[in-house]
Amino acid sequence: MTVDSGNRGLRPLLSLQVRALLYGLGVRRGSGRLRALGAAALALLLAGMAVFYLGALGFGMVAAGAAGAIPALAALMGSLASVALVFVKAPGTVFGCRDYDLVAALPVPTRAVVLARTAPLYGFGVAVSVLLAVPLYVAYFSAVVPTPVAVGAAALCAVCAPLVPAAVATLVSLALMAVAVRFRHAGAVQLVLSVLLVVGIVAGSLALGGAFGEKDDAATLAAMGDVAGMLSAAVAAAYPPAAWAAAAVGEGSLAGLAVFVILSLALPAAVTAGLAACYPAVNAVATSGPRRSSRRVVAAGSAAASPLRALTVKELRRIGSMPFYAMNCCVGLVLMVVAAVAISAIGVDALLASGVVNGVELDARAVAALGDQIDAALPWVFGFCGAMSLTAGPSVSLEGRASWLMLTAPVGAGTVLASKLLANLVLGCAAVAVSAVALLVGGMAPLLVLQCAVAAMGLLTGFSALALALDASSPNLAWTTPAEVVKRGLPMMVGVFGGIVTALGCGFLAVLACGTLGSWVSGLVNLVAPLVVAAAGLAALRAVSRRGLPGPAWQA
Amino acid sequence: MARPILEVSHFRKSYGAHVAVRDLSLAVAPGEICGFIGHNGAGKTTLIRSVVGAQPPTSGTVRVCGHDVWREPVAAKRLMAYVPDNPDVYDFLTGVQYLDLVADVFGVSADVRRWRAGELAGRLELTDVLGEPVSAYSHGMRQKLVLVGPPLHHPAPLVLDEPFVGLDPSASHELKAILRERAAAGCAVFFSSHVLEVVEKLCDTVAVIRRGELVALGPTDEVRGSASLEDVFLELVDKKDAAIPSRR
Repeated sequence: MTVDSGNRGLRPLLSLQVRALLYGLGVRRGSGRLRALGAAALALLLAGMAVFYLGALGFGMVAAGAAGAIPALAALMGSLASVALVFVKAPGTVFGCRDYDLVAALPVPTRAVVLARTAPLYGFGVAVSVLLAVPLYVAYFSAVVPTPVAVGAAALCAVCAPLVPAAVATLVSLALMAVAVRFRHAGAVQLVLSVLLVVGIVAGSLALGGAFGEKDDAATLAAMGDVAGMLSAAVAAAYPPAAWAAAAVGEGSLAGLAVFVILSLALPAAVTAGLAACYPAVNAVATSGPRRSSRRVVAAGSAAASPLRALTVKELRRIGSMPFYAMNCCVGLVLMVVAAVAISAIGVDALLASGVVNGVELDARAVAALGDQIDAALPWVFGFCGAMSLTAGPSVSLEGRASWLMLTAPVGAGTVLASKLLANLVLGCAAVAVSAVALLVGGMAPLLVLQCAVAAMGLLTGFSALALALDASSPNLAWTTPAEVVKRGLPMMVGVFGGIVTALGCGFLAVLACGTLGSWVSGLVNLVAPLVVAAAGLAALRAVSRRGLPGPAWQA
Repeated sequence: MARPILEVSHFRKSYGAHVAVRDLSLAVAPGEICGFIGHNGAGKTTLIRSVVGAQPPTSGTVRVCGHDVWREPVAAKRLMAYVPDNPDVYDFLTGVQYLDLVADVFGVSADVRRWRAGELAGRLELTDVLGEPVSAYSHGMRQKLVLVGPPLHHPAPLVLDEPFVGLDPSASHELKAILRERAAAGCAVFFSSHVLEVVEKLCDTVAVIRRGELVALGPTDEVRGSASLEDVFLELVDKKDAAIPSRR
């Protein structure tokens, strides 16, 4: 194999990866300029939000006297972004890829194949790192004199920051995948760990809010400065390259800069070379199946069930086996239970007065004076959580290439759609039941608990039915990754955003009704409005189910 | 002659200006094995997907035991079984869970499904892996799994799209035996294939489609005459293609 053939092979393989990325983002031939513009606008919006948020964070740290911690934080931000990207994209792109046989048979060196697979990950990591670092360094250099060495070091550090973490994450991701593919219940374990992570983040956020909640602005800034300093020290201790980057930018340490840059270039090169050297073995490990069970299975052994029940169980199995799908579509249910337990343990009034809830700055007296209004609005917190939990939303599209089973089964479209909605309701009912018990145990009035349960189930039913109706009327069965329909699908966007707007609107209406007409009217609003939302969603779903389910090439 | 189990009448399917299948009619009687052959893109899968209710025709009708597939879909589908050209089944189920799902949807009792699925899985050498997730199956194992599902409810017509693709020789041999047994039990078997030797040996009747038009239909012996089915097929294609400059 000559070097020339390697160079010739790299360009088309890189081009293929870029096309695959664009295809995955929904930019496809014939999909129209509007879709491409929409994708670009969304990317710009997200980038703008990130720049704004990090700029605010950076200037907040400068105001808190913690400017010295910014270089390490910038290196950490770029690193975390690239680690997250690698964990999501490396399985299926670098290893365990479906087209491995095809690319392995091409007359190009293996290193070109591996480089073409890893380069987009590193490139995207660098782009995100620079995007996140620029607003932080702008804030930093507003407080520190920008010498040419410091600015140059900052630019180099921003570019190099994600390279080492991405290389390490590639190896860790490969190791995790090698374990997961052999473990039958890896999906369930991942789901449990994800739920624990969400609960931990919420609890940590509440604890942090509590720490700052009772302080005045000056004390809060000082506390933030302390936290930033501690964070910087922890980052430097746990991740030495961040300390080298901080020394290069903050103290003009050329030695620190050199070590940081050399390591950032050498480690990815070594990992890429290592992967190339044992690429067939790596892919064999990543694509091997779970260990064979020694138990001999009797074919089709379970008791007979109705088609609706069988299809519902199938939907629940799908949710349980896809942690990504479950966490995106059930996070509201987790938050609902966490909120109920927090209210039960602390009490609504104490919770609001403690300052742990971001944006709520009320003392105990103010909370007591607003008791009726708080009771009027509380059910919509649960409605909000219910509206974020729409497993049914992308479920027709998720049938994907197996949609032939749904289309040729001897059941009506109504049964197929009902099974998808029912699976969503089963999960919703379980979370609402646990939440209701927690609230009752905490001493909340049964009527208010009923309002919370009705709001949660009403919004969940209404918006999951609406999202399902939208998905069933125009499913995307040709997706390449489930994220296309779970995260970026129109039905999910309409369902979740519609639910959030409705929850906020109804909460406002209930508080208004409570203040002007009395608490019994707000109670009535809280019981009737969710039922109206549910009825509207079910009516939309019924209308779609009467038309039947469209499949691939349905349009004549 | 017995009333046909599967009747396709004046079927037409177009995608915008492109006509995939035009004015196609055929019938398959009880006990008959009908092979459906044609070149790539001729319209075989298009017709089959409409026959099983996965894609509506532009015009024409498809009837299964007298039930119009597009007017009485549930009644027609309950009598029918389908094996697609790609064995895409749910990765998150095990083989047993998939077969249970199929049996539940078709209303097959627990005893009957246990016996039939066990027997078919044994014949196709699939029993040992039925407890494994489908995601761990090879293409051939998936193909065997989708072949075990359809006969569970004793379908009247059994419709298969390229069923021999991906099967090992022993499974291929077993599938031919299963299809013969189903036909002997009164089932109408309709399948597409590119393996002309199999069609020639297995099928009572054969239908040849070319560019969306049926160019031959009848008993295999009559269509073949004294030549092989391959010769006849190539002759039919060449005759039609004589009008196309690039194929002269």
